[in-house]
Order: sequence, then structure tokens, then C-alpha cells
Amino acid sequence: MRLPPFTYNRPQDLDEALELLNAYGKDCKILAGGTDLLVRMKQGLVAPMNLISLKALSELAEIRETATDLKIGSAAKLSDILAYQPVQARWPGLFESIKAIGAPSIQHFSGTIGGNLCQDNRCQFYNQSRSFRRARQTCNKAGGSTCFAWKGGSDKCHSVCQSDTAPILIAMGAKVVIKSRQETRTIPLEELYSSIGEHPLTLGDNEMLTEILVPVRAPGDGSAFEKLAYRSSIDYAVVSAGAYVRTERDQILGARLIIGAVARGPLAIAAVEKTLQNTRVGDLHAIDEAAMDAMNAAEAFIANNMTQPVEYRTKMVSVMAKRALIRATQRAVSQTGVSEAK
Amino acid sequence: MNKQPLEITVNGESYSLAVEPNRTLLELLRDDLDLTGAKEGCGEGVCGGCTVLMDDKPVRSCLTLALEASGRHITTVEGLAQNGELDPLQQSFIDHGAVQCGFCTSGMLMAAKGLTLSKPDADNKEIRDAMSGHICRCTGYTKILEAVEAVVDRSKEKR
Amino acid sequence: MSSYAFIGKSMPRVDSRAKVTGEAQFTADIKLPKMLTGKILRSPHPHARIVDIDVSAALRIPGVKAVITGRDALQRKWGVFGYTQDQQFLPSDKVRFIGEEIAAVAAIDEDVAQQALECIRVEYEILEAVFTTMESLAPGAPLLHDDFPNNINIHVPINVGDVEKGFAKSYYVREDTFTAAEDSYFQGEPYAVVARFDMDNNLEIWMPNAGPHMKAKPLSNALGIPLNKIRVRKITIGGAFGGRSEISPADFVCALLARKAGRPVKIVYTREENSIATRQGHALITTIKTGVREDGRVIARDVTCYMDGGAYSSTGPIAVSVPFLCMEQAYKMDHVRYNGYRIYTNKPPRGMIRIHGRAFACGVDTQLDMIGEHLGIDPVTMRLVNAREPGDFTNTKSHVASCAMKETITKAAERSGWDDKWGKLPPLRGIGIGCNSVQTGFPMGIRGGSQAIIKLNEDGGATVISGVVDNGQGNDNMLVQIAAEELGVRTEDVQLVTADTEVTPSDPGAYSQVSTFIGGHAVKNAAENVRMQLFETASRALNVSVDDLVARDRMVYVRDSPDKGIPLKKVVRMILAQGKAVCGQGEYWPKVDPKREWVKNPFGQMCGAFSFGTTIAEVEVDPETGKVTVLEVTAAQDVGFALNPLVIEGQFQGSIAMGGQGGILTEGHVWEGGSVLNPTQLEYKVPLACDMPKINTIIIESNDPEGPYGTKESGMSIAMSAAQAYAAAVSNAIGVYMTDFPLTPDKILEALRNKAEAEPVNQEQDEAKGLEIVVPAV
Repeated sequence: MRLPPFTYNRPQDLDEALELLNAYGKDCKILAGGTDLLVRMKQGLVAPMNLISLKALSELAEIRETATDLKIGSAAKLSDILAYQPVQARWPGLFESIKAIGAPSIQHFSGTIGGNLCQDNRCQFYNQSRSFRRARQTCNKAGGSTCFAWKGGSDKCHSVCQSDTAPILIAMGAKVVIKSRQETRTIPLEELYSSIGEHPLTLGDNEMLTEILVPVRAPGDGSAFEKLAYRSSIDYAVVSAGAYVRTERDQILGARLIIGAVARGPLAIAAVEKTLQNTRVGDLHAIDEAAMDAMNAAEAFIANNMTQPVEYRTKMVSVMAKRALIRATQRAVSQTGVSEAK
Repeated sequence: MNKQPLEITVNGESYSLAVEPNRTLLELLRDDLDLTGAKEGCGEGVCGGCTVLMDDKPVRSCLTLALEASGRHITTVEGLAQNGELDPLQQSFIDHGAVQCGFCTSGMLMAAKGLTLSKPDADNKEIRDAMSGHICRCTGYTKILEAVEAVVDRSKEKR
Repeated sequence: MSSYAFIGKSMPRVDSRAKVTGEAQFTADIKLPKMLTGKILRSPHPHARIVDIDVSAALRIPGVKAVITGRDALQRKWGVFGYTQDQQFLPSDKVRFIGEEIAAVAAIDEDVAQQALECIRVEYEILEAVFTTMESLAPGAPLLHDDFPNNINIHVPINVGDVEKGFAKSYYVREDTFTAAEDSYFQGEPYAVVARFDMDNNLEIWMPNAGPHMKAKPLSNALGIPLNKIRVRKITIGGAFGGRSEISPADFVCALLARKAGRPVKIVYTREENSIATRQGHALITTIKTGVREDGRVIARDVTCYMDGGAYSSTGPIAVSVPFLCMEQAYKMDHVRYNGYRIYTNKPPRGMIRIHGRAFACGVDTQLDMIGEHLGIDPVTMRLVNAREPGDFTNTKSHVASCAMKETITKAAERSGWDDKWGKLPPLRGIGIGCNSVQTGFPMGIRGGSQAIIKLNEDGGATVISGVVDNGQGNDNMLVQIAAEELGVRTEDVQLVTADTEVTPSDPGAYSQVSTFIGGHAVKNAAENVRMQLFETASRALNVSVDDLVARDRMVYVRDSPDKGIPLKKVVRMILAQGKAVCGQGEYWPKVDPKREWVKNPFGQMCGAFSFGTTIAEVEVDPETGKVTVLEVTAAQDVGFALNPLVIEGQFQGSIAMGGQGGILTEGHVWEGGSVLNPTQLEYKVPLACDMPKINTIIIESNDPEGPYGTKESGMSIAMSAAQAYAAAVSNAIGVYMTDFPLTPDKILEALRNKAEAEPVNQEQDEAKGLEIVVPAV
């Protein structure tokens, strides 16, 4: 499979990159690890005139800690984050989510955290070859006006956000730094996502994600990520869940649950916070209720956009939610991370 | 399209080339350098057949721009044997019957080589994980895993 | 028996060194001077009349060297059999599936070729399409081929005894229906072809194949050139599994482009093209009615099977027959009736694939378990009661000379700890058994036998010329082992010239599990012939009878007196000095009934031997997600004799991955209309290393009287029985007999839910168990 033509730019520092991005505007894509973008280019889904490579920008590959945050450069490789020792103990949910991405020898040595967060949405009717798509009408996401994933069609694109790191990072309260030549803004990660299938990110044409800020672990908190896939490697999630729980003694003070792979963006289950607040640690009925909250919220969004049946994925939302919440709670009370055996 | 200069080292040999930006590392290796050991089994980074080492780390050459390998050291399956002597992994694949049709073999070997370079004392679970991004339709993986385990075990014994 | 030097010994394969160094050349690796890139334009419609094709814009693009359409083809239809000729490569009347070849270009590179394809304008008249067997059979359904009424491509009727009488006499009768989606080959290597014409207009062509002669003859017909001008060359092949058996339209297209452009052309399929435009496995609907005695022995069985054949016949009559034949070989029945229908649909054509229809093989065994449960007989006993035995005749009158079916069952049961596990495993754990039998060869008429030629060179080295092809299973090594053994040389002394239609004599190819039994046999016979030439000269020199001589380790010596001998090289030179060459041929033709025909006369000796395999799988099911973890698999096969145990173990392990792990748990094509939604390895889920279970392999040797050294097929009855065992184990784990394959987590969960709804009390217990969590005390 051939790539379409483009010009290749390898800026030597971030300023130069932002300058190029500003100049090219719409006609441009940022190339990080390439595991998502290059496949879409080969399939003819995108054909940017210009690519800006982040290869030379070592400043975007840094991983360091401050008093308040774990700061991860957007071009940090997934393998480097996994190798950064404190992550396993103190950001276990993040560690689990990165472990769950693709296969080690595919994504981890090339793929970047920024790339995982900024990957395009997916759909079984969209992420296909030219010749596959030629056999049917052009869908919303490809610039047409129909949706094959939504029963009866839709004027909206019902593709799905398949980032494994987004749900857990949002649950953990991560922020992202977004830069353009003109300005720098720091926003909660959830605001990176537009929930519009056609354009799932809120980034402007001249903007770039440069850094992810993950709050340091506080006493009594815990995080966990769950992913369901039919095979234990390579696959995208059928459903995923990122959970973050704050406890004090045997009380849950607060909980955030984000469901991945079901909606156009990471799906925050707002009701969970209320359902679990001030419940007792180990209250299975409360967890069950929270899991049902998740399923009820997700149900409205799940489209026929992957090969696994909609009904099954809907049911799995509650299972993944429950498992993530339970493990996050366990970690919160025991103050443990991901054990080596995991 | 404008070709751009590329300095690259492949299997210890330095090349000064000019390549088109949309050339993948796999195309460069196979079509320009006649190193056809790396295979295109899917072109979308799934099958693992195109895996080569870039500075000793396994990467999918079908999803790597040739220009992104600028200044890097690439090792392909053709570069594993040294002075006519097979790499222990190659010999182990032969001895354990880990090779059937052979199409996935070079990718498997490069993944295994990447692992043994970064983690010479890998345990069996780590070996299995490292080999799980590669699809083999013939062997059921048993003998491939045994072949890698044998090499790792031998190097553990030596230390 | 143990006196062999190479036979029966585990030895690394001779082809593996080139494969681990990257030197082995596959078709896509070939680079020829002036070679062009070929690309194929495919139909976007499942069923449409071709009104007009305009290629003029494509021809105007600089760098385009040839464009072809159906107008460039001889208007001939091809089929494996005379009565299945339904496919014109590059059709000129209509297209019948999404992905069918419409036109092709050869250009200086892939980008130009792709650009040219985009410029070809095809005017279609859209026709109504049918996508399932039942839609196709419905009254008034559109016909794919005018000369095949009701879209019935093949009907294989077999009726032995009187099934109705059998059912009447039965203690217990039941009927069940099983279904399965299409499975697919996903060979490592995507399909590729390189073709060129030399200055004498000979076609030289390379492609993955399961028998070069199976490619050459149809090419000769389609191109209208004599067979001796078609040179299918040897090339390393990245897997076949039944999917490389016939001519591919790409072979024809590539040759035609090369002829028209006057330059070599290479076509390399994408992974998607390999899935939609080579072959797939059939989707099946199988209804099985079985009547048994009180002890579980089957008296009568009536099977009706509808196979979704896609748009063309392919190996249709064989594909319809083999699932039935495997069953009648594996299990005894007094009366049996079979109606197998292969139905045309507007989907890609289907061919032979390892399990030969999951809904058939797994249906038969699942039903045996259902019957066993009713009768209170455990699955192992059910199979022992019905197992084929040596000396039996199958219902369609094949004599089974060697058979260790019962031993495969008992040994596998013993090794897997069956007695300790059956009925005693905790909830959601399950164990299951499957048994099957595979033919060593198909009746193939004039192409059924193999001939080999061996010449010895003056330095004592041997050149073996044989039509046998290696798809990855180790056939090359098999030939070397046999030749080295018989000639008394070392394996490194043997050079192969194989799988090349210019020089190698006829051979049936690798696709009917027959390479050792027939092709290897021919090499053995040729080597014996050559060895006799050596012995005749050596016997005069040593003054002993030829019967007292042995050839071993490059020496010819008097039996039991290794000191009384002559170097083999010297014997060769002595013969050459007499003005004679050391060269011999050998051939082998299987003893099959020449009158047996798949449809018209499915009776008589089917093939030379039958293999028998049993697999036992143990699984655990996650009741919340329906996901299956496979804990351990034990496979036992009667392989006749193990020529190379290392290679056979590898076959078993690969068979378990493809037949069981993938075939039952995850693999299946998903459709929307005529579009395959999962054409690549991302969504068609072939198994990965991380999910494979521990595998125990047991090789059982029944020493077939006809097979060379007692060998017969090995590996495939494991692929089939593994599918059956996996299905049985999952059913056992969840307490529901599963009837629709593959058993993906969603179906398992659904079955668990339906079961729980039927038993509301147990449901609460199950759920409470599933929710058990451990939160450390605070």
C-alpha cells in the first residue's frame, strides 16, 4: 500500500514547528509515531499536503515530575512512559492503559502519548480501503451525507473514539497544554474532544498538543483501566473504562468514570460521582448502580461502528465499569500500584 | 515529488540517499536496497512481517517513513548473521522447528532480537508479550516461543 | 524400523536456513529487468451487467504500458470440472461479487498503475443481488448463472442403506441444525504473481501454488498456448491451507498484461484483496438427524447441508463432499443419507479450507454429546463406540487399511486427565473432545499420480526432480529425507529441482494432503531404482549379491560389514566409466477407484489411506464477558508413521491454532450485503501468541501398509478435531450446546443469559459469585 505524496518537514524546535503549522494551516498533519495517521493516508482517508514530523523535538519527549503533576511531553513514546519507573506505582491506571494499546512491538516503540490522544475516530465503514468505500455512498466522515453505522442513517457521524489513554487520563483529572504560534492554553483533557465524529478534536488548525499534566497521586486515591478485546494484543477496545476513586477511611469521597470506545469522544459518566459519593468502600450495590449508570448513559451512543454487536458492547459497559471501579477502589484503600505480576 | 537527502545505516553499512517523502522504510529496504527479508503482509502495522530494528528497537517499517529513519541504525533480518555465522536466535529457530512457511519469520526474529537486546533476562511471559504483535498462521506459535526461550535461557545460564 | 538414518528422526528442515536469513525468495520479492507493476480494477457492485468499459483515459497516462479487459480474454469459461465451468477471468457479461476482476493495467510503478485504474470508466447495469443461501434458493431469486437453475451450483446426493428404516429401529433419534459464518485462510503471504514471456514466447510465471501443474493446465487453456510453453516456476510459498489450489484470475491477468506490454509484470495483492479475491471458506447451514442404539452406536444419520459457495464453482464438488467424507471415515453408521448443496451467492467464491465447514464437523460431534447426555454416556465412550476400526469399509465403499482411531481417543483422554475432569470441573470450566478423519489424497484422474527423476552426479551428490511443492508444511525436507535415506547419502548431498512445470513431471500437488503418500512415494521409488543401479555395479566389485548390499553415509557396503564397502562416489564413477548415466525414475499412482466421481458416482476407493485424529480441549469461560480462556489442549493423531516428528508436532500446533483457537473462538467474516467488513487481520481475528494454550501432542503410528514407510496425512485431522473439541469444551463449560460458530464472547454471553433466564434461581447465585470482590479492610 502506497502513501500519497506530501512534503516532509522536520522542524528542529517547537517554535519552528508552530511556525510551520501556522503557515500550512489546514493543509497539514502532525506526524508523531505514525501508527494511526500513516494507515489512514494509505487508505486515502486523509491526504495532507504537508507533514510536520516531531522526531527532532526532544523537548516534546520529556517525562518529569513536579510537586503537582506528572508532565509528559506529547511526543513521549509509549515505551518510555512504561519504562518511567514511578508510573507503575503512582499512576497505575495510566500504566494499564498504555500496556493495553496495540502490541508492544507495534505501537510502543513508535507510538506516542499525544498520538494516542489525538488519533482520529474509527468506524468499520470508514476505516477501509478505497475500493471498499467505492462500493457504497460516501459517509459523513468522508465528506458525504450518510451514516452506515446508525440504524436508519444519520446526518451525524457515529464513529468512535478509540484512545485507550484518554478515558483514564480524563478520570485522573489530566490537563493538556495546547500551543499555537500565538498562544498557549492549558485545558482539561476532556475539552480536547469535541464529540463530533467528523472532527473529534477541538484543536485549531494552527494548534498542537504539547504536554499532558497528570495530577500526582494523593493519599486515598486510586485509578484503574479496563479494556475488553477479543484478543489479548493488537486489538482496539470493544469497550474500555477508566476509573478514579478518592477514599478516606472506608468512605468513597468521590469517583470519576470515563467509558472509552463507545461514543464519539471519551464518555464521562456524570451520575457515578453522585452514586458513589459517601458510600462505603466495598458496597457492591453502589458499584453495581454506578455500573448501571454507565451502561444507561452509554447505550444512547453505541453505534454499529465495529464488528462486535451493539447489544453486547452495551452490556459490556457495565462490566468494564464495575471492574475498573472495584480495582480503583482497592488501590485507593491499599495505596498500591500495578503489581509486577500483572 | 522532491527527493530529500537521507543518511542511514543499514546492517552496518552507511548510505547517502535521496528519497521521496512518501517512501516508507519498508519500500526503501525492499525496493531500493534489495533487502527483501522484511515482508509486507498487511501494510497497516498489524501482521508484524515488516518489523526491523531501529537503533535496536523493533519498529514496523511499513508505518515508518524512510526519512524518519534519518541518522538511525537499521537492522534487518539480513543483518542478523555476523561473518557467515547465524545469530543464536536464527539457529534456535531452525533447531526448534519454528519455521514453517517462513513469511512471518523475519519479523518474529527481529522482535525477538529487540527483546533480547533490551531485556536479556526476559521471562517467558515477557517473551510471549513481545511476540504477540506478530501473526503466524502456520506454527501455532509454540515452537517460536520455545526457540526464543531457549536462547534467553542459555544467556541466563552464561551469566 | 529404527535402522533408518533419517526417516523417523526429528530433523530441522532444509529450507529453514534460507528463511531465517531472509534469503528465501517469495513471489513479491522477485525483481526482473524492465518489470512493470500490475494492478486490478475490481467491481464495486455485487451483481451488475457490464454495459461498457472505457479505458482510453487510462491509456493516455504516461507510464501506462498495457490495459486489459474482458475483451482481451478468450471468451472461455473455466472450472475445475467440465460440469463446473462458470468463470471467465475478466468477465465480459456481468460481475457477480464485490471485488471481481474487471480490468487491469501494467505501468511503470504502482502510483501510475493506481492512477490509471481510477481513470477506467465502467458502465454497469445494476442487478438484484443475493447474499445468503436461503435468499438464493427463494423462488424468483435472481440467477447468478443462467445455466444453473435455482442457483444450485452442486448437489451431492449420497444414500447408503435405508435411513428411515434405521431411524425406526433406533432407541433415540434427534435432529439439530448448526450454522457457521465464512472462515478464511489469512495465509502469511498475500497473493502475488510475476509473469514474463521469453523470446520464444514461453510464459514464465511465479506465484504461490499448491501444485504447479494445477496452475499450468488452466493457464494453457485460458491463454490458448500449449502446456509445454507454460513454465510455472518454483518459489517460496507463504502458506496455502487449501486457498492456493486453483488458478487465480490474477495468474491469467498478469500473464495477459505481460504479453500485451511485452515486459515482465508483477501483481502483489493487498491483504484485503487476498481476503476478497482469492478464496474464502464456505458458510454453512447443516441439519443432522441421528438415530442411535441404547449404547450410543449410530444406526442412521441423515445430513442436509447448504453451503454458501459465492459467485463461482471453484472446487465445489470436492468442497461439498469432503465434510461428509471426513465424518463417514471417522464414525461408523449403518445407514446414511447426505444431501449437500452448494449455492451461488453474490459473494467471493469459496474453496477448500482446513476445517471444511465448522457447522458440519462441530455439528456432528456436538450432537454426539447431546445424545450421550440423553443416554447417560460420556463423550469419550460415545466416540469409542462409534470409532472407525482398521479393516472397515466406509459407507461409500472405501477400505480403511490402517486406523488407530480408538488409540487416539484413549491416549488423548489419558494425557488430558479426562476421567478426573469430565463432570468434575468447577462451574464455567469445561472439557470437550472431537474426533475426525482426513483423506490422504483425492481422486484426481490423470493428475492423480506422481513421477520423480533422480540423477547422481560424479561427486556422489544427487539431484531430485519432482513436481511436489512446499507451501510451508515441509515437503521439500520430506523429499530430501526420503532421497537421502534411500540413496545412502547425507541430506546436504541432495539438491531439489521441484515444483517447476518445465522440468518436473506430473504431480497432484499439495492440496489433498498427499505429498508424502504420492509424491514422496515416487521419489522413494526413483531412489530405489537408482540405488539398484549402484548396487548392480557394486555387487560385481564386491563380489556379493545385490540383496546383501546397503547404502548408508555415502558408502555402499555389505550388510553388517561396514568395512567391506566402496564409497558411493566411486560407484557412480565406475558406472559413468562404463558409459552409463546414473539416473532413474520412479512413480507412484494411488490405488483408488478410477470410476469414483464426486457427484455422479461417489462410491469406491476414495484414496490410499485415511488419517485419524482426536483433540481434547479444556477451557474456562468468564461469565461476565463471555470470553474463553483455553487452559490446555491435547492432540493425538494416527499419522501412519512419523517421518519427522518435529515437523509433525508443528503441524499439530498450527492446526490447533487455526482450527480451534481461531476457528472456533474468534474467526469469521462479517458482512453487510456483499461487503466484507473485516477483510484484514485487524478485525478478522486470527489467534496471537499471547492467547494460545499449553499444547500436548501425541503421535500415533498405525503403519499404513501402502504409505511410504507407513506414512499418511498428518495434521489436518487435528485441525478439524480441534474445532470440534473447542466447541464441545465451551458447551460443556457453560452448560449450553452451542450451534452457531464461531463462538465469540457475545454469543457465549447470550447463551449464558438465556440459560439463566430459564433457571432463575441459579442466576442469582451465579451473579453473586461474579461480583465477589476483595477490598482490604480499612
